[in-house]
Amino acid sequence: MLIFQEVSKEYPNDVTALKDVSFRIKEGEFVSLVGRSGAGKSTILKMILREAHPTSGSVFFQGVDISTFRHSELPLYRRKVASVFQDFKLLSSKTVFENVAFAMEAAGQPNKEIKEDVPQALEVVGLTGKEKRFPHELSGGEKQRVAMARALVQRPEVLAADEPTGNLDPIHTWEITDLLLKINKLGTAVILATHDEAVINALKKRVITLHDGKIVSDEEKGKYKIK
Amino acid sequence: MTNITRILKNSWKNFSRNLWLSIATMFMMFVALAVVGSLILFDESLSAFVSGLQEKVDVSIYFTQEAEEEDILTVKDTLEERGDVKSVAYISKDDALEIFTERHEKNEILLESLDELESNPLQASINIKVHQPEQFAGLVEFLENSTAAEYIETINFQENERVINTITSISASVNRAGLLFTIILTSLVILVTYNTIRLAIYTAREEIYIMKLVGASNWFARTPFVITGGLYGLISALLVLAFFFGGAYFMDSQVSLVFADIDFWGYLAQNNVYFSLIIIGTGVFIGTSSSWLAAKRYLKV
Repeated sequence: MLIFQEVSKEYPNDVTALKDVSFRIKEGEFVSLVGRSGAGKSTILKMILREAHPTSGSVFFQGVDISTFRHSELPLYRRKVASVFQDFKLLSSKTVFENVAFAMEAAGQPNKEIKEDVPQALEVVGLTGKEKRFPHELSGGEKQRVAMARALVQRPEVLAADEPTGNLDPIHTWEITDLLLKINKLGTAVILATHDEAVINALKKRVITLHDGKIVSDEEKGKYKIK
Repeated sequence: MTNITRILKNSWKNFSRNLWLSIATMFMMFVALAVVGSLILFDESLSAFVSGLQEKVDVSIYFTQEAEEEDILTVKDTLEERGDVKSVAYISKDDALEIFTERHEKNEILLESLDELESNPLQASINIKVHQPEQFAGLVEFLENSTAAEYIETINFQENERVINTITSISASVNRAGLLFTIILTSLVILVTYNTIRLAIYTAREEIYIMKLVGASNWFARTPFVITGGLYGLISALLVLAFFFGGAYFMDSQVSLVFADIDFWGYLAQNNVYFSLIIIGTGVFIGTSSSWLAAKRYLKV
């Protein structure tokens, strides 16, 4: 479903973020991207969200080169590819409910569905009763769960998660990891960039290891191997 | 339709949930629009002042004693047909005498000596006003070269010429300075408002970025900010109007005592629609276009 084909990314001043990276991700797959800071994990996720563009090579989604999307097609693509980030990226002036509802509003979903889906998603992430809180009134773990609920209501085909547990303590880390697995079970392919050794080893899912912008290993049921 | 309600709702939330930012932005716009309003009133009072002066300037042609009334009236008719002449008033010898007697009614010696004379010693004259002071010179030249020249004794243009020239050059330079002043202040107003709104939208850049990431179209992400910007402009404009109409109403009597030609309240009352439309239009236009431009750079995600 998602194909990286000999993708390279160079920044000015000869900084190479990715070098000839190729891999395929199947529908509903759970893939972890592992590597030190600067190994290229974030660049890959940014390319999936089409925030960054390859210097050479192509990224295909369902057989279409995503760099060919026109201005008007981009929002439609982004609704199929959800994202969660280390810094949560919630709208600070909106309540929990509104933050989750916003993704559906932007997608033009009818009010009736929003009223049904948002409470459901908040229940899945365990935030029922906190709908009217603003992000600054929540703990880090709760904020990330709001972001997960926002991704859930999008019913995405891909979820790009960039260090979602990077700012969380171990207990919340497991909650979020659990939610990622739940979303994955609902049929969404999850691409998780992390350097949390414990998470990787517990997941027992496919692991792509990156070093200096190159793939050094790609294993089903992989383990964390960077020392 | 759902989208439009959602956009309107988001616009209102932008406005009400960032109340302090909204108030600060509107305060800056209030100052900017007050400058625009003051410029209009300044221009208006300046031209009222200058045209008041121009109104007072005229040229009189005095005719010789031999001139027949008929000849004088022919000159008057010729003058009235000219495009540069605003008004022509004929003062006959008898009229002149009447004015003279009236003006000096307390000076008995003068009036008695006037009675001693058998005929009326005063001259018939024509008083001319033109649209623009600089038109006098051409008019005088025309009269001096016309067939009527033989009946004309004096044209008091030479005496008035200095005054006329001074007023002409003052009003020209005042207009030029006024235009320059307007251009500079208007650019300043636009710049200040644009930067204030840019600051307001800068705080929302993360929000725009997130909207784009969850699949909002540019239109859906940007329009609420444009509407909020328009709302800032509208509210500031209404406050400025209240300030000006209220201010002019209460201050008018004092100002009129000093400058008889300047009547702010009269001007505002007469041009209320024009004035309001300019202020509201400027406010809404600057508010929406600044927001549109400022949001643009954050949409490139």
